Amino acid sequence: MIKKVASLICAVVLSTSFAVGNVASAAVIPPDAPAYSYTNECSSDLSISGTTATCESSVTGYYNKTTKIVIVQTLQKKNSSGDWDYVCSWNETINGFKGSVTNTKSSLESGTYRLKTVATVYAGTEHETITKYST
Amino acid sequence: MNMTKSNFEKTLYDALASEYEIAMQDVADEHEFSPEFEKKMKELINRRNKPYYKIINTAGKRIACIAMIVLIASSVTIMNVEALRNAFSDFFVNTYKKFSTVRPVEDDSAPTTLEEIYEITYNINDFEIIDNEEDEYRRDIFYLKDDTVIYFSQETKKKYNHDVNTEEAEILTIDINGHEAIYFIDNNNYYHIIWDNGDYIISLSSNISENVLIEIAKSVKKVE
Repeated sequence: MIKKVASLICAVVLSTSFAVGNVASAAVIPPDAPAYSYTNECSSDLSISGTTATCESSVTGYYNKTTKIVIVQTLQKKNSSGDWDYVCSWNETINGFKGSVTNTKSSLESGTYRLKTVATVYAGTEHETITKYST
Repeated sequence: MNMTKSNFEKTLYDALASEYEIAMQDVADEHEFSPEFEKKMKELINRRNKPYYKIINTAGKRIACIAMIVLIASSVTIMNVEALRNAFSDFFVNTYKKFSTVRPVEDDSAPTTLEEIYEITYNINDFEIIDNEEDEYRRDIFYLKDDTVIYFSQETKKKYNHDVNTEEAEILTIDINGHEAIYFIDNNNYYHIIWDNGDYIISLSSNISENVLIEIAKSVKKVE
């Protein structure tokens, strides 16, 4: 009886650890990832109409702290293996504490796309890099 | 010589009975099984009498049962994590170590473009608008007075998907005119209030005092 109870407890504990581990791994931030020190919020939005994609990225920092924002937009397409291939990219520098960037890409082939926004947010000479994907 | 059956049996008995008795004496002392053996047999008998014996009576079935338990426990755990993520009535909030992703609950009936305009009606006339961006999905207005900033935003629910700075922040909820708002203070001492007013996502962030920002939030009204 004791063995059975122990087995059940082990099974539950192992499976619980497995599930929590999976969820936690999705939320793991690399230890060297920068803090959100100069970035208030950001968004990355992709809308597709016909064969044209509209890519919008917005980053807001802090007044009197954030000095410059470099936004790199990368349009990506999902391949048959489930990985994301590069389609095209844009790069824009905003001198200020906030900014948004909108770009379009026409003549898209059919498929699944997403927008990757990488923002390097500066406070003087210091900076942090954040990444946001469209859903 | 002819012998009747009964005579034959009697003769046979007389001939073998003494040998039989001697042989039986040799096994008269009953064997005593070891306590371990007795315990094992008792366990086997008990197991056989269990109502669920047929479910676990082979190694394969036992493995299947354990696998089922693992699956159920995993599902329960994952559902619990989901519940934590969905702890807000109008938003999905995934909280990571340094930020949170905030998305509204899907609402197909909500406007997909800004059909109505909401404004702060609290008296902030002494603030200057330093930035104003607007498109068909979103309005952002920045108010400034000295070093005090108020960032007001109105956005369609369909478009709203923001990563917000919640590093070291505790996300709470407050009531804004009957709507549950997400509320937190970030590591730059900015207060943030985000709520779904039924049609749009309204957000405010500011380094103004907490009570004033809540009053400002409650003053947001449709003006057009």
